Amino acid sequence: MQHFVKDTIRRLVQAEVEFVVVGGISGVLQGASLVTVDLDICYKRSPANLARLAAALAPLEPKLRGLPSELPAAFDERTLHLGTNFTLQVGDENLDLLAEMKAIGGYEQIIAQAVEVPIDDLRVKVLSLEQLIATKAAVGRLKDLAALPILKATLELKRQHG
Amino acid sequence: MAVDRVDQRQFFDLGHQGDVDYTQITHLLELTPTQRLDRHEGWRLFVKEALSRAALRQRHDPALGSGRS
Repeated sequence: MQHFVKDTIRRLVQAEVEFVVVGGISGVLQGASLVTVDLDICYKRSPANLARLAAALAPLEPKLRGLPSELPAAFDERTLHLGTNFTLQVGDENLDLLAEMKAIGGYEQIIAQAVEVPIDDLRVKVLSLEQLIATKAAVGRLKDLAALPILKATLELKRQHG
Repeated sequence: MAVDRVDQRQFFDLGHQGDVDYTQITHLLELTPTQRLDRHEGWRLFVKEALSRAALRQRHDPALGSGRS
């Protein structure tokens, strides 16, 4: 893929998948000076949306990350029904699909406070900075805690500048 | 002879203090979300490559990063 993040988002939007961009990329889109390698999305767990999500990703041949390559672990609509949060490998890229996020809840809670941003000709829902700060503080890994001062400063500056 | 103590912060302070570079965030806020994402993509690929090389080196020399080197 030429631009993994943008191309994946476009693929999901065009397939009419109901999702919110979360994780570090949601902070980047709102002005935070972070660098993150993965793309994380939170998706709606309705049967129709699981079917759209699986169909949209199928051409990319996603695999569950960390499983031995000799294991025949197909990732498809059935897999999505069986689990909630998935860490996928798409080529040499990482894509995480989340149904629930610590401290902020699932898709319904997240979409309620999501922010819409333009990416090229698309309108994309992204996790609000307030919710991103809340979930990173709750998860509490070193890399999450390290991002907090930058996210809080970004929120502060956005509020100052309207 | 007494030597004046040099405050070394002047050599290392790149315009911000503490954990946050407000100047950089202010600059990013002036960009569109698409511009921010395009700018980030270059850094993302750079970091991905660096992590990949570090992992490869550690496979060849397990002592690296283990505190034993």
